[in-house]
Amino acid sequence: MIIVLLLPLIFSLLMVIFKNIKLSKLLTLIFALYFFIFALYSLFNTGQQFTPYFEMNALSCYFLLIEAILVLCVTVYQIGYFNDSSKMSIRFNRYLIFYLLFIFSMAGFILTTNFGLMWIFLEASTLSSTFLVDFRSTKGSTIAAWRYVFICTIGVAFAFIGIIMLSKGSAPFGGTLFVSDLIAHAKLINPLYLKLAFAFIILGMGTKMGLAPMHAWLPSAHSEGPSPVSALLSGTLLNVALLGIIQVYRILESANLIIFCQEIFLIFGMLSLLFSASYMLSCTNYKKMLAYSSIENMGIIAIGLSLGPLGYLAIIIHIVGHSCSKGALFLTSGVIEKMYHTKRIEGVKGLVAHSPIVGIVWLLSFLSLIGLPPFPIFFSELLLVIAMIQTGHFIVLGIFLILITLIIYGMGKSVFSMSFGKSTHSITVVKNLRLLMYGQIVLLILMASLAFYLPEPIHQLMSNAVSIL
Amino acid sequence: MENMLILLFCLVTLIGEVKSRVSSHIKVIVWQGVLLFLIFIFDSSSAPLVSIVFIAIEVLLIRAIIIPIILKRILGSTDSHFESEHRISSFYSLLIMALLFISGFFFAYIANKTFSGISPLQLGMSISTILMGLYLILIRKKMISHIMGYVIMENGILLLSFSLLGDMPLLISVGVLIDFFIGILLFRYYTLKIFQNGYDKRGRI
Repeated sequence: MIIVLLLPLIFSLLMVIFKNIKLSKLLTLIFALYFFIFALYSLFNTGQQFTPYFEMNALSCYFLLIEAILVLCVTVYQIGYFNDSSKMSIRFNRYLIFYLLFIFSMAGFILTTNFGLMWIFLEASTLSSTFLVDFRSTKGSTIAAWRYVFICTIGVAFAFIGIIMLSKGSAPFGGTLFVSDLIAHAKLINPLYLKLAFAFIILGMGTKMGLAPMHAWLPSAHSEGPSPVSALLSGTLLNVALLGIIQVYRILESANLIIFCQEIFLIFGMLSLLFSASYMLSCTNYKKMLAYSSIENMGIIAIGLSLGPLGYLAIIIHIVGHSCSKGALFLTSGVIEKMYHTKRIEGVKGLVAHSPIVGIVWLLSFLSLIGLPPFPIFFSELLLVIAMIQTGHFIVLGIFLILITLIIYGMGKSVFSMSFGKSTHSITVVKNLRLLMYGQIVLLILMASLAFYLPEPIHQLMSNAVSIL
Repeated sequence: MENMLILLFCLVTLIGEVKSRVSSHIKVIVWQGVLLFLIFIFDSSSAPLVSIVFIAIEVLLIRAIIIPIILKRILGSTDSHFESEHRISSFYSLLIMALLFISGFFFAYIANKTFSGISPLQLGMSISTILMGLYLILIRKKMISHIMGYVIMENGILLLSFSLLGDMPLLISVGVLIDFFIGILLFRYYTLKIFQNGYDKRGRI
């Protein structure tokens, strides 16, 4: 475990020293491969520990595996994506350094067992990814990066207040910030401290997770950043913040304060769907559309957390479905941007005719995101509906279905208008198209195959992750 | 004496709001840093030497000296000497700030009734300062004023952590300080970049 945390630091240091772009690319690829192999190995070896501060359980292994899959796909993709930027080699080298630091901070957050360290890794993930968002250094990307770093830093400051509350609450048993200790002694903590801690942490980490109404940074950062960065932000960073919220939720669950949390989750979840639906009906920028879809999906996950055990199963499935399909969509959006030189929906037409592989992957990724069988989101949303019926949330169910329908309609209208029709714009032939499409195809195959064959270790991991919740 | 310092800590933010010169706002941050250090010294006279040294570095060196210097440099480079672009008028803004200051006493009253083993006034005033910092971010338009609002908020959070915890484990304190400091450097970088590239010549966003 220590290697997976140290390797990105060592590699980024080597990149700083040598400033050789080929070496940097190679080191990034080696790390992505090692990270993936480590995540696979962890699948069979949960329970690893490195000092009391870092531990691997089923939940962290699940999140780490998703991160590793996406990191591998994104790393391969960006070799082709940035290929034409040899004149910008210094900037690309810097990009790869921050890329590794970003992955390190997310992995650190997932593996740590201490809220203090979690906070540090979360803030580090914001600071390291700011340069990634601003890679192009255009007016839009610079302003998006400023918004991202400023809003998230303020959000994370709120999360820190929550952590202070947790530490004060745990004073009767030594003021610990270790998750397992806090869960074990949850009933000894003053409930008011716990409630305040949860409220501040959901406000802070919810900002990072993209929950409405704290989502202001997300659409611009996702749409202005390069596509590989958008894929990572949406597919992994939002999950990382979610994991932080889940860890606090587990403490309140042990203290029998579950209803308080569930009400808050429901409010934030529905607000996120509402904000997302209102944008989707009039969206003009396809990357922003994907960003708002991330807000929607985080809202769905928050709603799932408010629905009890069946909801937990649903969100565990939803997380993998959202990360993979959003990763595939953002990566494909990068190819589309290279072809049409625009992010405007009306500027893209006839995708399927011009490049069948890009068009079909774009369409399939969209179908996967909206929850068509056999993709995972179909099962997760079905489970959510059943959970809502079982728990008697009929009004919520009604609003949920209306908002989801509006979102699917809004997105579908844009995706289909981009995929078909006749383009009036000149289209560039993209170099390395195969290299740019491998990742998305792997993600789609992975998602579709999970419906037909769920390997026993993954099934076990998902069951254990649900039981931890 | 300690209560006096705590009240003064919160009051300097309010006094800063009366003035429209950004350099006066920077002085607020210097004063807050010095007062924070004095509050810590009075509050934990029996604290270990390591903690006192660390807090001295964190509060006196970084919050009271280095960060104001960074802010002054931003001010010099962006030519945003006056904050005349409040989203609401100065009079109402001052009124709201005063209400936020008074709300600190209300929080202190509630804290005194609800929690044990804490300094209620310290808790109340820290919440009041956090709210003032957040309010300043919301009503001001210039980027430098946003950064100052954030620093004021962070100072309030530090006071809150003093009031609730005393001192945190050194590892976590160091991590938090590094993140805070790098955050401020990043804000400086982006403020200057946005201004120098002419994305917004008035230094606002």
